[in-house]
Amino acid sequence: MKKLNLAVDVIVFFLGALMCWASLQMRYGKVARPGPGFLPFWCGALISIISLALFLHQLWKKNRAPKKSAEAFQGVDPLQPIAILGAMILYGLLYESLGFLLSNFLFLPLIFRLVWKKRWGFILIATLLMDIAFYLLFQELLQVQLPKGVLGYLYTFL
Amino acid sequence: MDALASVLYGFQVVLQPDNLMFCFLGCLAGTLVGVLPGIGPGTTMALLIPFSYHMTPTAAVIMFAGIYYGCQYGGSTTSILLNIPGEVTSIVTCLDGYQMARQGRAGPALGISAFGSFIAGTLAVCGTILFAKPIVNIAIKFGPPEYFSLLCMGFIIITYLATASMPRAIISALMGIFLATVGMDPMSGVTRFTIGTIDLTEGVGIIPLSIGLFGLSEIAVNVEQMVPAEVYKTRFKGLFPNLKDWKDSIGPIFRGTGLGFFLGILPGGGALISSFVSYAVEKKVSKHPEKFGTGMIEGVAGPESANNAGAQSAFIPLLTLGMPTNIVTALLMGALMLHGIAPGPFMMREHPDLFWGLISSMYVGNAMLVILNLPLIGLWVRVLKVPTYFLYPVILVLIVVGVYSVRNNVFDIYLMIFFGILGYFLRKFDFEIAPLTIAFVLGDIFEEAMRQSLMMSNGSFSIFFSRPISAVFIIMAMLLAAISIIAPSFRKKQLKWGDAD
Repeated sequence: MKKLNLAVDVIVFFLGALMCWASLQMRYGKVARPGPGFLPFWCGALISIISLALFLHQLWKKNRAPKKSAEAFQGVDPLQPIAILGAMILYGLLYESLGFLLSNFLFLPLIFRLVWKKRWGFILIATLLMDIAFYLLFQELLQVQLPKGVLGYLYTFL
Repeated sequence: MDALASVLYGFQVVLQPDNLMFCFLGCLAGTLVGVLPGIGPGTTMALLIPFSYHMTPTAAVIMFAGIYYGCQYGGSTTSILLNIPGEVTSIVTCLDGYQMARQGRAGPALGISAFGSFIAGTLAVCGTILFAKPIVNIAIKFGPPEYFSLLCMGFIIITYLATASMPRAIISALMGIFLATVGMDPMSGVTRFTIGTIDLTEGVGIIPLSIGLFGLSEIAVNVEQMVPAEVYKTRFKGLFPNLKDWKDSIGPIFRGTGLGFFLGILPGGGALISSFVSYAVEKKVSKHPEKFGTGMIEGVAGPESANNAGAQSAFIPLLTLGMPTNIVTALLMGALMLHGIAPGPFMMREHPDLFWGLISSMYVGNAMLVILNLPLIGLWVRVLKVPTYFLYPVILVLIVVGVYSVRNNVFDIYLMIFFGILGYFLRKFDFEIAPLTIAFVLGDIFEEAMRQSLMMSNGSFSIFFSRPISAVFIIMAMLLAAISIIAPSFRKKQLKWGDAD
């Protein structure tokens, strides 16, 4: 797990360096008249310096990695958050093109099945009821603008 | 307006039907999320910010404040009855509260928790009224160097009090400042880090950022540890503490209120630290410290009063200096900015309805919470039985609808998912997300203050030391930073001092 912490520090170091590089693409200015790149540059530089110090500190002191980080992925099922975040990415990508109702019909079964391992009968009924409830709440009661997607005509019909 | 007239004006504002309704809804939602472990006031506020867009700023702020202090009440109910802290601020209540419940004294424990919170809330409101005006009078004199130094001190204290790694908390805060620079630079008009998309010209929105970091990442972390919690059942009767209970509790209530009030004002303080410090103090001053943890009413009365007082006094720096000291007030600041209101010393003069309405709403809200909590305890316990496979999908859909509805722009959903993934990994590797969010909210003011100060002084950093108020803040910040570098064990000792055991 120490390796994981070292890897995190290396990633953060390069992230800081990237911030510095991106900041230098715009005007840095001078201390008496700081430009738009001044503060972001120093944010990136400090991030790199601190992560480098953490990296060296961990290399220097044996087994002194932060306790919680060492346990970051121990005793947990990493597939569950991956399923949630993956399903969210898919949901986000299809949200406008499929519309609110259809994308829910894809998203809800996906997480019911992948995260909570529910049976298909339950999934179908729960998805249907939840989708109707969401529609009534957001569209009818709160009148929130929802993407219509390919079922645009259905909304006007409803 | 003198203090009394201002407070009466505040009551006039909060007693308007719509404001009263939002105060009630805030308290109700706060109690509900306080009861539910895993969902905190930060997540709830992040979820509700998009919907607050359609409310008046006063109603929105009153509701958000209700969520925050409502959470403190809700959290204690499950701590006492089920040994499950609904909120981190009520962890310490489990120690003696649950033991009291096991001895058949759940009623007095719940009662003293509610009455103590009410007394603390009332006194904290009085303290807020007392302290707000003098702080505002000083803050009006602040120029860019004072603001820069104050923010530096705030950032250092917040990272100093980080529960995990301080260097990583500093990295989080720096990331927050960097993210705040995305979009058009107000001083030069240059667009920064927009990766070629016009969607980022106005900068990263507080809504996708906060919902992603709090809502989505919190659910992702929670689902990987879905171990069904064992619910210990207990009986409770007679919610009114007897005379002896009152005699034992009155000292802890007042001490807890005082501690909570002053710790709440400090950046990074607030309800959590207040409750732990109060427990430690009660144990120290008690004639029977060995009995703590076995069902001492002092162990419930002190921390419960402290967390409520701390939750309320945390609003003072926000309302008077425009400086959020914890994540809840940072999100509240974000919500106010969405409504075009900048919290700070001029708020009292420019938006008296909002300022005094909010302060008076805390008193009304506390009264509501006592009435709401005690008779509805059975209902709150039942709420815990709502399965996560219903709760989390509903929250996830709510998250997406909320983010999308603000600008009807799917890019905000992508941004929210990005911050959700980022938040998940930050949580996993001890990069606290509170400093990131607070720094993000304050980033614009920080940059503006820094650039203006340096221009004023023609590039000399002595400007931060030559002005007395600025010098006090910057020296305090430097001292704290030095302590944590030179003597890290001292910081750890201080953090541990609040530990109940």
